[in-house]
Amino acid sequence: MAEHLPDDRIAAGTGKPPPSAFQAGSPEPAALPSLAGGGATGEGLSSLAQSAREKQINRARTILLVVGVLTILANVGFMFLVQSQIDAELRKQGVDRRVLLPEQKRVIDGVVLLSYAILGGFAAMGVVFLILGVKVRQYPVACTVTGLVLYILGGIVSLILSPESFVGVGLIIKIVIIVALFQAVQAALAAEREKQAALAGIGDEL
Amino acid sequence: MNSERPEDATPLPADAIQVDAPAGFRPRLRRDRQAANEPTPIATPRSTDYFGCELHERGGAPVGGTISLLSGAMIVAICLYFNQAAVAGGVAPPFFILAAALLHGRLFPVRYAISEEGIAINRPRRFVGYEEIQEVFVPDPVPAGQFPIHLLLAEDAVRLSGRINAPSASLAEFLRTQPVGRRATPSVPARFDNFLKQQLLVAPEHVYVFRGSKKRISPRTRRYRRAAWWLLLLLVCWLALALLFPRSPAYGPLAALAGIFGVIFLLGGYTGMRHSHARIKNWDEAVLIITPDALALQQGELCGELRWGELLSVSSRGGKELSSLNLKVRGASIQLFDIYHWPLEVAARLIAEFSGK
Repeated sequence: MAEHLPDDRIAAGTGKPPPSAFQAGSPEPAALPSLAGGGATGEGLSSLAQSAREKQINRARTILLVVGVLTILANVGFMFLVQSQIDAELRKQGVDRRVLLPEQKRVIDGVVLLSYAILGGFAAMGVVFLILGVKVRQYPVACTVTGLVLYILGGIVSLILSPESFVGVGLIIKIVIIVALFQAVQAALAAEREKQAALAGIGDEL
Repeated sequence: MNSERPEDATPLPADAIQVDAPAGFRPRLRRDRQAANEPTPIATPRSTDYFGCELHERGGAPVGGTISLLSGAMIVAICLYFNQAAVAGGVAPPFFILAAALLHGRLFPVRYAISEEGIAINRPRRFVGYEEIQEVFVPDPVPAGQFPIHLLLAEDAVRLSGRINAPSASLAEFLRTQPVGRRATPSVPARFDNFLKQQLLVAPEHVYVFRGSKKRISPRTRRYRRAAWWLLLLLVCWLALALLFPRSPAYGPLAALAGIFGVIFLLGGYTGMRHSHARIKNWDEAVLIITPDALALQQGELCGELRWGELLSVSSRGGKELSSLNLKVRGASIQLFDIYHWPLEVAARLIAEFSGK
């Protein structure tokens, strides 16, 4: 594994005898003879696979930040609308809020409190998404996995509370986000594996 | 291999029959000789088989064009029978334009006049001298039947269609015996210097450097351009009908619709918008180096080298003229776009050949 990493190849030339030339049709690419210090290919270049994974993780970062910001804005916005929505509903049913019975008042206060709790919870989840987005480059696996799990859990809760948000474009957007986060998890896991393998390779060399 | 002589490839000289290869024959190409570590023949006699020949692209059966033409005529006849000339003016023009677009290539095929100096192409009009050709690139191993031949030049490439009226394998062999130039290694960004140097030490003949090029007009772009002009012709038709029959309200909006699509295709064909799907910054500075050992790339945010052992699979989009190539690696995929001075099909062939995937 370690010899497949371009960065490791600089140091990996000691173990194998260098083949004289390219052997066409061989299943494994022949290691190239070293120029200086056992290097095989470009010293100025990093791994393209790793670069692609980083791009994937960067995309996850953007998604997490955008989802976080939108979640916070939407839920804080809804918090301001809770009272007016309840008033509108009461008016629709011909009830005057000023002449409510104490029991009815308690129920309505409970509903308001529950709404604030749910919306506050989602807003807090938005903050978590923001934190995950900021930290995803440092801890790619933990952040992408947490982000994906949180997003799915949040989606399930939304589905129970307001199934109408899962119709049409809303559903498509959610699927796209889940797929992108899933790909980011794969990229993060692969990047982590490569990192471990590289470290193991360096350990062996030492 | 198609060993049939092109009967309409006029005028083929009598000795051209000699270059006709039997079925199953596989010409030994330069890449084969290199792979087998055989010395390249010092002097290959220059073939004269195709000198003075004018080859052209053969179209398939004109089914689509004929159907469109007949449909248009039938619509006109029915509408006139029911005294609905306005309907005929609205519905028939797209059918006639489509028929013209489909039959155009058959009526005015791309022609290749081969001389001792090079190949003159009529559409788009250009002359490619043999010394300009850096490599005659054909699939390896050579497939049976007809296949496109890519002539790699310093700044772009010329694609000789697989539908040409001559056996592709013999034409490729003929071209290889001509005094073609050598594939020069262009300058690359400093970060690729070591990579390139080391690869050139090992297999200089197999190092291919693709550079991002805004100048190159791919066959796909050419199709966009053609579609734009046909749509504008449709616009002109409907505008003329709108002027001739001002009482008919449909022609104006139809002309506007054709105009909108025409402009979209014009923008897609003549501006940098055709590459907007790639969303690559500074793609004119993109570099793709393909060697038997690895691939090095600078394309937008992506930069680095990939050894073939890291490549899991390759998939492509766009049919015969590829628009993108997807290289799957563990945990991610790398998308190569058709933004280079040589076609992506060449890159795809090389990757398949070198990586075995």
